[in-house]
Amino acid sequence: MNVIACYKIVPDEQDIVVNGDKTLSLDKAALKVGQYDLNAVEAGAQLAEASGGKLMVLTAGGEEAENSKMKKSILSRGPQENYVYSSPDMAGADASMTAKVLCEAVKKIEGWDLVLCGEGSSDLYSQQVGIQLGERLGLPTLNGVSKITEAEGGKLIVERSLEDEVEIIEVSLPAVLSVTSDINVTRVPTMKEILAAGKKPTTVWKDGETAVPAPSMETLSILAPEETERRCVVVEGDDGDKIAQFCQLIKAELQ
Amino acid sequence: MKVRKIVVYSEDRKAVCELASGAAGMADEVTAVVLGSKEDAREAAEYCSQVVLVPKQEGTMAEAYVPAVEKIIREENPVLVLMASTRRGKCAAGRLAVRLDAGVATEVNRVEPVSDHEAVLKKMVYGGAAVASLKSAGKLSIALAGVGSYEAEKLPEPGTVREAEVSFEESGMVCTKVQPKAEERVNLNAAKRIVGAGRGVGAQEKLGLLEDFAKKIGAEMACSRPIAEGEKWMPKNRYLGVSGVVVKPDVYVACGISGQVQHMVGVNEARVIIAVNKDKNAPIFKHCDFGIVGELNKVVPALTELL
Repeated sequence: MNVIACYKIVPDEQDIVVNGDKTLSLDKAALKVGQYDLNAVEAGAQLAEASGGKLMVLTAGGEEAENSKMKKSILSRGPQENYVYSSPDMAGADASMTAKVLCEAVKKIEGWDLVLCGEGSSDLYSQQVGIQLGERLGLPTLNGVSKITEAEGGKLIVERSLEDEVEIIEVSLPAVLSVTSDINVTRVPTMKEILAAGKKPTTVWKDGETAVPAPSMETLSILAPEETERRCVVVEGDDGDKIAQFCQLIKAELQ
Repeated sequence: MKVRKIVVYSEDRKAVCELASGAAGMADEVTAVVLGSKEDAREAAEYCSQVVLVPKQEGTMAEAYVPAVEKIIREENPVLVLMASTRRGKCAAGRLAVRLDAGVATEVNRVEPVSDHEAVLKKMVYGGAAVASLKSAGKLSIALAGVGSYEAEKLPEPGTVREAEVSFEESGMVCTKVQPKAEERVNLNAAKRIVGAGRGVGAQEKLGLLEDFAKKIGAEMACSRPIAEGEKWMPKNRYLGVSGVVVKPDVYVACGISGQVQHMVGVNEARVIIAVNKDKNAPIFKHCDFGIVGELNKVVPALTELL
């Protein structure tokens, strides 16, 4: 089975700086592959490896999508080929734009049976791209997929985790599935895999080959949340007296 | 300020009633779409003045009714579709969005009507580091609100029920079995007090110390994401944070939790936050009301004893 796993290059949220006016500064943030996307890549690698198939990975984004360190990072995790759609107009794209562009990109790639996406992107976390991509392609599509097994007759048996129950579903291929973050434990690439990643092929589609669609949601603002004022009374030390002192402090709140 | 019309849809009957009550405060007119039986529709009508029933046939998946719901939304022509931010909700919303050319916002904390045809939707982004305010760029937007965002309130008189034609589409998917989740159910949203376990707990055996303490103060146990997903010491439905459960307890006691923003957004609305952590530089001490710098092994059993 040949699989395409989609991923997004995102700023590491730990490096985000909040400015005085509550706006965010992402300039100094390091890039990373979205953490939930790594589960899709791992699931794809396992399925492809088990069936002797091929894993391809695909991303769409602004210039960060072409970052060579990110290319190595993703290609060291099992895929044979990388496909990148890059356009300055895709920077900060919303889920509908990403789904539209990925749909066009997927149509250009030949010989795949399954497209996998993560649960959501690490930055905007709309959890929409996989579903919207599946719907655009007119294929069976599901989210919350926590287990995938290949079955006879061009089908998969998947487990889908909902809030209170798990569904066992037969899905006809081709299909588009969004996997949960606990479907697997992602691999840590070895030095050999990292070195080999540099030699794997990447196909880049530039701006102009596919028109960038308009966003479906207008972003009015992205601001740091209002923080609740806290008292920050901190006792340092864990000897008997200190614990007793701390106990007195919190007792009033636990009445 | 209210918008002209909201359509409420969820495959969950309790969620429909809650969303309909919430929508009544935000729109001049509300229509609830119920997927289920006549009885489900009658119950929803106690909370919503107009109900459209999509009769669900035995053995079919809720996903097969997306075309039917799409048709009703087109007929009703609302400004906003309000749904529940569940897995099924997110799946249906994405497919409806493509079919209706609508914008979608999931995990919405607040819906603010700004004119009769526009609403601003607020949701957390960047793992809780920021709040995005979004507005649909087209005519229609779909907002998915967290479960329990609104309280269901009965109307003085029940509303009307209209039954839609049965229609569902072949989806290339067959659900062969539904099994209950192995993990036990827990409603952290209802808990007044919560004790949270973080990586600082160190070993699964140590959770017992926290459980004893939780029992003493009448608290539910919860945890940070690494404890549920990395270590798997506690079930996933007990982890607090932006991709987990967001709670508003009276008291939250963070034990061995460093205080990463992704976790803190899940407990930010607690009245009081108490922290126990051995690292005096842990960010949690900047986000708590009362904190103690010390070993969990010593502090927690002592508190269980003393309180």
